[in-house]
Amino acid sequence: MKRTRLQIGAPPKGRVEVLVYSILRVDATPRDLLGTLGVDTSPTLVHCEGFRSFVWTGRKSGNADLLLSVVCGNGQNWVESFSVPISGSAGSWFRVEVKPPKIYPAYRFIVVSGGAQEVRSKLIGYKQEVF
Amino acid sequence: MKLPFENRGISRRELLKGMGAAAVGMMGWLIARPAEAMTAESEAELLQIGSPGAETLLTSMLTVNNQERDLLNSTNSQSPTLDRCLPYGRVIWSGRKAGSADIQYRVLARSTDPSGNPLGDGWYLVMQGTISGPAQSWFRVEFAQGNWDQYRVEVASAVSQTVFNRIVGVR
Repeated sequence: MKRTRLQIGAPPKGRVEVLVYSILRVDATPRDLLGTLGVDTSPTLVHCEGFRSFVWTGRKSGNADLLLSVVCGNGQNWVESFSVPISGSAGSWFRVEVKPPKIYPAYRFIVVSGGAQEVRSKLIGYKQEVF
Repeated sequence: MKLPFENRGISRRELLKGMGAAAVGMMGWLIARPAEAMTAESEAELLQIGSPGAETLLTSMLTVNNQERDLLNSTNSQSPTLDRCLPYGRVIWSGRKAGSADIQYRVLARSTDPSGNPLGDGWYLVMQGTISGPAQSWFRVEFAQGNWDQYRVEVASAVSQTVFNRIVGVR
């Protein structure tokens, strides 16, 4: 029996995966989403060759601004970095799109805050270009 | 002369009907051919109209007035309209309004933890706007952002009217 299927329209795209859940107490000391201290120490994400972009969403408990810095490299040598400021009142939600200039194997997502507060967040990765 | 789809037992009328359905945004509907038109060679075939990744997430009929409520008629501001929506990169709300009054809407979103609980109270404002049109007119709103876990779609109208809603998610 011949089995065929007529498909009209574009195939699905924009595959997304959850990479990190994090409940983090942040302050002026740089720390990554996993809670490790420092700017260019251990990576937050490894084996990321398949991901083209990321979205970090979450909720901040305090009024102080946040600064998300992303450093990119192979996990030992960090070759590029960029930062995104996040403002909002206590209890507000945020969404940050992160599109590295090129694909790297490893990333470190670092957060600092002007005042101590709790940040609950989720990082997702896109395997295709979506923005 | 028969067109290729007619060789599979699909009439021109059926195809045009399906194309019309797709044109008004009714993605994801599977239109199976009538049993009497099926042949042994092609009994496993389906004609799929629209994007193959589209799924209906909600259908509702709602009386909207000047009190903000979501598309499930909930006035509890913490109650989500849609849950488990992370896979959907596009979310499209379409419908029909019975009255001529404008409808104000807000699309809110938030993320959840591995257990499906929100990371916290409150919502992120994805978009807000006004749906205008005469009585019995259709509308379509595509959410400005996809891949959130939960959405709350709130509506209000200065004059009470019935609104028919459908939301589809596209992976």
